[in-house]
Amino acid sequence: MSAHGTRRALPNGARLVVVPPRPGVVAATVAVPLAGVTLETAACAPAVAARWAAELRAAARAEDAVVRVDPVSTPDAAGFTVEALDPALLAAVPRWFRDAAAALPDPLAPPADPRAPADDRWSHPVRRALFGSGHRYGLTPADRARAAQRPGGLRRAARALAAVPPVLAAQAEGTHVDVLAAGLAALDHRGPDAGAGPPAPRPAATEQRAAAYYVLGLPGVALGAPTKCAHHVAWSLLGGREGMLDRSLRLDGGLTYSLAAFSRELAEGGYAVVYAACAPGTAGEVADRVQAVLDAARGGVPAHLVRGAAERLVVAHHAALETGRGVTERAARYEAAGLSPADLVAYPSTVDQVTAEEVAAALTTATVLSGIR
Amino acid sequence: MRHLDSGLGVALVDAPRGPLTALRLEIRYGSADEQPGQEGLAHVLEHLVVRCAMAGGRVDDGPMVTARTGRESTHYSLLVRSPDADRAARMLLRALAPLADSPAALDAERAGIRRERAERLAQPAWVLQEKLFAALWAGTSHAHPTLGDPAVVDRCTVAVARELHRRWYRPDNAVLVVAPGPVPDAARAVPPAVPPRPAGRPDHGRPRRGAVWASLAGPTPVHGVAFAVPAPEVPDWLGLACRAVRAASGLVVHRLDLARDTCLWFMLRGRDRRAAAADLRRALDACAHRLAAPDGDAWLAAEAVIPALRAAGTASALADPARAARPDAGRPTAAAVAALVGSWRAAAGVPR
Repeated sequence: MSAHGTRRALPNGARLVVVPPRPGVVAATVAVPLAGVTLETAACAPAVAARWAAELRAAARAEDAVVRVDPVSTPDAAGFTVEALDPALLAAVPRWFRDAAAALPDPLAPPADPRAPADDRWSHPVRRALFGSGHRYGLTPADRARAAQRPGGLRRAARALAAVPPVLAAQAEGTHVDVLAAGLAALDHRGPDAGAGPPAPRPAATEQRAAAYYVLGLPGVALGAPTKCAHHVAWSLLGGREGMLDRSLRLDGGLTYSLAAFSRELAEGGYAVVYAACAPGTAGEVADRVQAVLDAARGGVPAHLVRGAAERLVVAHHAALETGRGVTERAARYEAAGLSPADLVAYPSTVDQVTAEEVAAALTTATVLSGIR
Repeated sequence: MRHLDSGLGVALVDAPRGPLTALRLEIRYGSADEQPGQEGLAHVLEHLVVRCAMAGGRVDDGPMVTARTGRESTHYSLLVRSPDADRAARMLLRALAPLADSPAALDAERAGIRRERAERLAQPAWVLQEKLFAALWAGTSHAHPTLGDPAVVDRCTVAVARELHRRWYRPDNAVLVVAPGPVPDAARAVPPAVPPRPAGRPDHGRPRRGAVWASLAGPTPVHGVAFAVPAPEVPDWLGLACRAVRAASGLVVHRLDLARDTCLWFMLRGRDRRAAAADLRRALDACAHRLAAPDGDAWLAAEAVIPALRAAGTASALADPARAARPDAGRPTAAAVAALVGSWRAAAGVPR
């Protein structure tokens, strides 16, 4: 097995990504890709993931297996992560998944799971504006709650998702790998449920000037886009502590109490968000300053600042992969988007090569697409 | 930990070398070391050191130092790529060089501290926490917040800041933690502390015995209860108990480890303290009940041990004594954690 990990496509369509285990807590992530499922199924996916996790927890407990199970829910996939101190326990994950999917009660009630992952704050209105109500990226918490409450909706979604070939990313080695592959291959899938594919993303921008909040959304790029790293560096420069926006809005202007600026890359598209909590009446000045910072960044950023931003991203990347759970959740996310573990490992060297010109070009593309000047 | 010729303490964490190295410089000077009339100056120094000594605190425009003023120490932390560890150490250790500040730098940092204070005061949890501390440590140097007294901060001069820096920011009053090692060359290059060695630290006093309560009025009043227990010999058991209470009841157990005491506090919404005490009792009982179930040990492992070990294995945690795992400490049984949680019920004054 390579240091990057290996991928294996199984006859039933499931995909296995194996990464080397490290001492301590080991992890396995099951992710069911949402590409191609109906909007209703995608809306119910977080609730189904929470129910799977609960059923899996109970199944493992019934076997006296000491594992921790948390739901995983992103705009691209639904599933769960299992963590254990004993690597051998992870071999049972495909079987537990099969049993959990089969054991879901009927009717299926929406779960109240405190472990359900929270979404990035202020992302929903931006995603809705950028991708529209017909794409799963545009779903809001209200859409999800309505779909989960619809009679039979959750049950239909659970059936549909159980029929999609999953991705399993696991820390494993030796015979455990073959056991995992055999277990995954034994799962029965009928392929994605019938339904219209999602519409193409609608590039657009949203700008909200409320009494005490300012939110700006910009179109971004997909996880597999060649310019992904340039976008990352651009938003690393703009956001973060003492980033360009923080300097202008908080340090120089004293305008914001809290500020966030980041980009997100998903399987079929991406976006960026600027969020600022500000004093009532100052949203206009905040908007002007955000515009000025974007203009300045598009006009060119000193190379040493680009290098520094890239360095911060590389450190953050390594830090995110310090835990087994961090590794398997990212490996599963990459695999669900059609990328390999090698792409994940190559991230630091790709970020290191981003130039100041590429950063300016990335921001120019985003702002031109958004329609802001 | 070993001491270099300069007197600087260096603690190397024995762990496999990975892509990242965490460094932490700890200065044994916190808000509890402040004399009357100096409240808030340890925090002012922290700001000045980052701005003036560390030139903003970035390693080559990249990773940025995180600085925190605590009650008993001030620390500066960095997470960098392992090949950059020596450069990062050099930047951190500039904290020990004579402070080249200026009135303009002091004014700028005072403005930042005023903003920080305004943001903190807007957070009810911070306000309640400080009320609890003031009550628990009444009459001691722990009673005032690390942000101190705004009037004292406003009166601070460059001369005062330099004098305090000269006294406390000395190699023989500092410890550099590197996770994983080895000793950075920059640490060996630190010049010895200038004699004479200043007098020792003031006595920080002891907390009140028993529990103290504090409340914040509002549409939904918030009540807090705090108490201190002797610093545990096995701190990660305490951490597991905190995680277990949260997993069983949703109630967050706040914790601050000091040299001789560990402070624990809870915050609850409710119409009055009586109702808050009842909620606290229910939460602690729920945890004890869950731990006493036949699968209590497996539940404890899933809810507390695995997350604790996951978090403890990272480079940043290895450099932080409060977060690092103690593998030699063994793992407590559910019954032992239940007993610990049960003792909190008595300490908080909410017996069955």
